[in-house]
Amino acid sequence: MNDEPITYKQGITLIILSVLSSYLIFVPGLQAGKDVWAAYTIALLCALPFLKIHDSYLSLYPGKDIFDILKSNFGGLIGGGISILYILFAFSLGALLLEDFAEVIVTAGIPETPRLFVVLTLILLCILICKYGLNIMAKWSELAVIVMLVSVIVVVLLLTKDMKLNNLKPVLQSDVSKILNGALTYLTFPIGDVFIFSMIFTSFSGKGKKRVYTTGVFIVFLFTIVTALTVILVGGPSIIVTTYFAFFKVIQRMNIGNFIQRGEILILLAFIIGGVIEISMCLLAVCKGIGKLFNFKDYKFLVTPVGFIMVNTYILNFKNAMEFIEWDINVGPYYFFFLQYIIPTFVFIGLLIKRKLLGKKV
Amino acid sequence: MKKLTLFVYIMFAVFEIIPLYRRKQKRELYLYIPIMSAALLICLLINMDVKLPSPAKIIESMVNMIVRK
Repeated sequence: MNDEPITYKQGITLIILSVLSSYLIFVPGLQAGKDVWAAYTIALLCALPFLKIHDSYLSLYPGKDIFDILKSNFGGLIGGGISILYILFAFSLGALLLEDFAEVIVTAGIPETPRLFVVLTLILLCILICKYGLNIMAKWSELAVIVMLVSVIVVVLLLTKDMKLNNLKPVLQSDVSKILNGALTYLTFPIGDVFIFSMIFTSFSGKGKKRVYTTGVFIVFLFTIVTALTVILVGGPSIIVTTYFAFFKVIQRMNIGNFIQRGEILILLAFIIGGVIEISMCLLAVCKGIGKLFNFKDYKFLVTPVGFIMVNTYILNFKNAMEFIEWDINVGPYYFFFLQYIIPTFVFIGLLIKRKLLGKKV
Repeated sequence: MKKLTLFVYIMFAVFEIIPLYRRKQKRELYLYIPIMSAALLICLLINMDVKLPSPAKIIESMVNMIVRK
């Protein structure tokens, strides 16, 4: 059963909602210190060609996701092999997101609750969402994205009185390797997460912007740069090295006339709303991939067992939060860079050669 | 908590296999049963405190092999 086409607007809102959510609390690329904005800009410029490539797939192969494109162009064996790498990407991202969300929910909201209970509840909700299909998620995202973006804008505006411009100075004095390291992190999380959608999006109905990936990532870029700058302007450089949930910690300082406080609840709400959609997207991508590998038209019957295997992976992955954070900083960017950028580059070159050989214009 | 997880898995497996069987979706069942069995087996082993390898550690050693050494 293929999902009904969604609109371009819904595609963009889905990207914003799911990609931005995780990075409202974890500010990526803070290794670059005060020059985090430079790291983000470098990362965006490097990612632009890849975003364009994924946008072009939508118009060159209408009605086909990446699994269909791989199968029809590279055949069952090679196409299937590359599809497995894409499935691995979606699966490992889903398992890591479970870790991320459980960590934040338990640490910030309900410290007495066992993490596994939170993860189990999250995955059951994601399974249910996936069973309802992409259309329901898309409709929900149209509303939820407004809540998320307005929450961020309100919180940032309320924090302006605590911002100190001196915290950003001196400009561009950080070590180049640190800026590049920050750029690599930003390139993989959050920009790279967007490529999950190449496994889900097939076609769009109605009129709208054809550049779904570019537009979505650009809006995510704007909001993440605003949150990162807020963290540095309010918290100062020290917050970068001492806190993992940087933006969350900064919001906790918000206190306007002893009246407006606890603004973090807004961000936590936006984080959970988007997070559930992001994990559901990963789950949907994995099930769609497995379904396509075995020539099934309907893949929704796979959602439950795949979701449970994801929970098992979560249990086995890390013993404690510190181990996870260390992995996320030292190993994650390299691993995901390979799956998000190297593999798609080879796929694109392969498609280009194939089209050239067949005499078609790309 | 781990026991509750196992219980939830078994409950879902039973509730999902029955409709697939009734609708005679044999191909779906042939794929569903091995994946669900794998999920159940890993969960059972975790419950029995059997030491299983961490996928994250495997990835870490692979990345270290390529990037660092």
